[in-house]
Amino acid sequence: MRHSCRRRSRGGFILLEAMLATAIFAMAILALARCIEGGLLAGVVQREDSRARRALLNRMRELEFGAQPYADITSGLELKGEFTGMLLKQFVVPLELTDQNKKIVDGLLEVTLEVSWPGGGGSRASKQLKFYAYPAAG
Amino acid sequence: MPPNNLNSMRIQPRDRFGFGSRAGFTLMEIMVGMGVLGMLLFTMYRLVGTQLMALQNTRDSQLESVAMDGLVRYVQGVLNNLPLHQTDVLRGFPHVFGMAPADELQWTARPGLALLTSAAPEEDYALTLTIQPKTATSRLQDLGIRRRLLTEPDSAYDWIPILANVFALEFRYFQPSLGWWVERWDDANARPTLVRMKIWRRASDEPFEIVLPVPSARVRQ
Repeated sequence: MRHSCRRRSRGGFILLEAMLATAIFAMAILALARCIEGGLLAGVVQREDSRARRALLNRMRELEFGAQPYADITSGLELKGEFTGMLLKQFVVPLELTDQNKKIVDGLLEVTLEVSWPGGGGSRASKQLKFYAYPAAG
Repeated sequence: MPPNNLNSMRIQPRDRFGFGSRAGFTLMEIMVGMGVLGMLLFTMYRLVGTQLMALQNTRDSQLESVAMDGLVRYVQGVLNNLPLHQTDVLRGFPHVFGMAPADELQWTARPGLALLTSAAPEEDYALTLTIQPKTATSRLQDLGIRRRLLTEPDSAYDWIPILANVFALEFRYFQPSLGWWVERWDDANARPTLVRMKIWRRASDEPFEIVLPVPSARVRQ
């Protein structure tokens, strides 16, 4: 008993204490690293989101002004240039609507554009734009 | 005084101030301590360095995004406000400078948004959106506007830089009658329905690409 008290009074740490302190420190460092990684990832996600928005907007304008046909692209179209790596899908559904006199309104389309790209963790991120078009109006 | 008492007097101060043989650190302990401290400092340095770099990247990216948005809004504003009943208001010419596209988009305007000032004499002005070297000897280029009175010669222009450090600029015009994009627009009596603008900030980057409608083209058709 006396021997043990004397060893303790030397003021050193036992192995368990040192390991515990190292583990706590490692956890703190890991948490900090995750924070930084999260911050970096947020910037990348924001850039990709902005790129996808522009790809959808460009496509919508091209459709509206006759530079692209109103046709289904279900298998996906690989975009090029700034939008390399993105896959565009286009769905065009003719709407069956009637006016107040129950007369059928022809030519109105519901267009859905979807852009997808490789996201984090092996999954694909996507963004959708849905709008109504009336090609007969020119 | 007996010799034993002398010895005990010499040893006493060392014990009183804690410099006894049990209280100090060995060389190995100091080295391990310094090693751990060094690793800690290095880790903190790397963490702070990475954080600063991330902040810098985010700031640069946001500044670039804001600058691009401003430019796009300006060009869209110009295209939205083209005079409806006037001819020869929009022209586009392809050029190459140092193996990279350096196209020109030209339009005529009166003082207002398109001229970037309303404090100018009420006359017609010719404006050209293009890129040109910062100085006569510089390899860096700025994107900006050449502004001159329509009656003045081509060389008598003011240069208004809008976007710094641009590598290349390309315009394409959608010709509805052909159903295709053309690289030159010099038809004084017609307007393209769409204008596609591509901007390369660096040679190695993919370009920023935006398609802009020309609303008055539809009205005139």
